[in-house]
Amino acid sequence: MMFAVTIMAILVIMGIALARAFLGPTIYDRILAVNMFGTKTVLFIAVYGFLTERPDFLDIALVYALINFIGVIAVLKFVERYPPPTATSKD
Amino acid sequence: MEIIIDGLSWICLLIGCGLGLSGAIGIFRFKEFYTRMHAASVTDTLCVFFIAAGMILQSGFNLVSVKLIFVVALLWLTGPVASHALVRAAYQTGLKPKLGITRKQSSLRGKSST
Amino acid sequence: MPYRYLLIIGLSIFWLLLSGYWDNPLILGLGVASVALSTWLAMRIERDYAFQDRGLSILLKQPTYWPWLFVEIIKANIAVLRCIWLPEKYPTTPLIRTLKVAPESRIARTVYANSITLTPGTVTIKVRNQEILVYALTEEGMADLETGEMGRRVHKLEGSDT
Repeated sequence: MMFAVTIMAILVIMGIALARAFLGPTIYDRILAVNMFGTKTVLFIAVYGFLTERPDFLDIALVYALINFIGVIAVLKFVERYPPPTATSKD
Repeated sequence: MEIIIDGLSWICLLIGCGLGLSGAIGIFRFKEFYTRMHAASVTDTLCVFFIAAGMILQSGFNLVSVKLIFVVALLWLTGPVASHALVRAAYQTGLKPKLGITRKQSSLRGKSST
Repeated sequence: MPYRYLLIIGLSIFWLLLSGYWDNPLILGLGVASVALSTWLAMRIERDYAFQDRGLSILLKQPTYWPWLFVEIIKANIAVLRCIWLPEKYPTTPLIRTLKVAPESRIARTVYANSITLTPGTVTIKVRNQEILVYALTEEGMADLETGEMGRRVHKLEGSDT
């Protein structure tokens, strides 16, 4: 029961983060939202493992945390080197 | 004993969900990128901690809880690095933050230093 | 190079805790291989300046720092939550300021900058030699940093004896 509630809340948070990723005026808003989405995905996988009583899911959560981190850093490196013309907001 | 642990983990999970939702609201409510970053930072620190604490209370002390502690440690170690990389990339490519009026004059806003 | 052995011990414990199989020789062998590979890679990356200064002291004194940092994180979280939910009463006044860094060694400066970023409300933008550029959400958050409490604690962490 308690994990079901938690999963619903995490899903709502992920939805809001996705909406910000769609709206976000600058590209950094989008990356920030995607990073937050990834963090919440780690939590989601962990809580889902508890909900279905399969704690093996925690390994996947750990791996996902690493992949998310490396992915965000890689995208940032790319954006930093080749900033898109719309990177800076129009104030 | 069961009831106490269940209650404690309910409290922890609910606090975690509340913090996460507050951070998500903050991501929407704040006006520009640099302030949104702080709202996201709330969900990256205490929200993760409380949800993991609730799950640790449920699992008891075994390998599962050790893995949960690893998840929290990993997120707390990589989160600041990702935030710093993000804010540095934004700053260096010329996204200027809107600065508020400080020096305790007033809380008037809207004057940007750019 | 004592840090190599420290790394091997730490990675072995990490691997044993994560795998959970402590008696299968094949999996243990794979674990030994991955620990060796990780150690080699880490030493190769950090060949020139791996923890050469005070790394061990910082590692051993971490437990005295974390509880204080945790309390700081809770306080900072509450401050940011107030700004989110009551924007009229607690307006955000973003500001950027350059701070002097008390910690000297590279690893201590890394710990310091990461601690600043980890606490919500303050973000490290740039670290250059002994200066650090910080973006804060409110005046109070910046004032907390300017008292230098966190810097002093990290400085104590690295140990002033060497």
